[in-house]
Amino acid sequence: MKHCAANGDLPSLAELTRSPEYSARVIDILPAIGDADTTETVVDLFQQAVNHLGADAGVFMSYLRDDATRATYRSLLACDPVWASEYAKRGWYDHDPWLRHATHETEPVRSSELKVTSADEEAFADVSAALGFASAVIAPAPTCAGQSRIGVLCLGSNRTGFFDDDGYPKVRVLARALAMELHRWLLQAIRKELLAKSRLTAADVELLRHEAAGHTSKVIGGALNIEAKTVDCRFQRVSAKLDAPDRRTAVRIARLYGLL
Amino acid sequence: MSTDCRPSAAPPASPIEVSPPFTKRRIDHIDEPARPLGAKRAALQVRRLRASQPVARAAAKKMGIDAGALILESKDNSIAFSLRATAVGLLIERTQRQPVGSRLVQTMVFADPTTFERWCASEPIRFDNPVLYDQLRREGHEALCGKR
Repeated sequence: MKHCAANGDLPSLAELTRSPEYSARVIDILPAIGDADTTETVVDLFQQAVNHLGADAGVFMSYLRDDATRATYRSLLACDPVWASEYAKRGWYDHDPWLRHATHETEPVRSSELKVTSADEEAFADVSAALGFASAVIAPAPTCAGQSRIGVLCLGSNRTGFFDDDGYPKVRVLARALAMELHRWLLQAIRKELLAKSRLTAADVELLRHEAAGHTSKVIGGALNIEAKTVDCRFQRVSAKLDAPDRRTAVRIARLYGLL
Repeated sequence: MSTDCRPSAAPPASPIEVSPPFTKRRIDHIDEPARPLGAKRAALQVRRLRASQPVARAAAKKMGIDAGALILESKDNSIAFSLRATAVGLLIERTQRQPVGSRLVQTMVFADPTTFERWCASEPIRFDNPVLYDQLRREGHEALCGKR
């Protein structure tokens, strides 16, 4: 095996995936991720999954475009923490080729197949290679929100070409499942966070549901037995709670966070 | 003149089940790029967000406890760390935000002081905000050693 020859006694990916326990161990972890009640549990399970997959590093990144002026990038890290510092310091979220891939594609890809399109992306790839992602699998977690809410999992190895052998097809399937479960957990977490921060009430959510259905203030007022102007006032308060410039954006945020 | 076909003759429809002709409001589809705000509204939104900052600054504690986590944040609220000792190690959530624009939230767990120290050595606030950096290191090590 070429990787064994190049890396002493370490098994290649093809050798690892031949073990009948390889997939079973990862699949056992997946349901626990979605049901985890604490962040540390998820990060720990993520780390375990990364180890079972034979990878040295893992990053799950989610991107959420709240409105025209605001975007949030969240990441769960199971990698060298220096990578996280470099990412923050260099503002790489604007030049992240993994996120770019996940924005336009749904299929997993290996770093050897991913084309870098700018000098910034090249710098990102070089530093990432030195910090545990010399070889990588990038697995998008697509959502119904298109380019407004994206998730991407990256599994990395210190060994160049590690993911380029016959074991890759199995990793591709498992990485995709892991990405979807991590994204599911993250969506639940950010929904809870938004509800806690905004203090939206059930009545506020009902109002947003009416707006999402395309109802006018007059129609909503008729349904709730209140004046149309009162409906407008309530929408102003709901928009303020969500830091939204208007009610259309408030509905968009509520839908993006899975509140409706 | 017959009045049999007047709309009032029909049973009143439930307000929730409004038929399509009454759905006049436009809806932003979430699978499309965010609708750009007009110049006037965008300027107003930026002003609102900026205006809310001094209030947030005054209310924010430099150091506080929130749901069992220790919160450390810079005076201008641009960077914050949430530290919590857990069974699997020290959980840190690092949040970097701009008044208007992007927000970066990184979540990681440190199982041992060596990895934590390695991360601290690469942390961008080391030179930008040495006071906060010292607090972060001190509190992180204390949490890892089980003193908190």
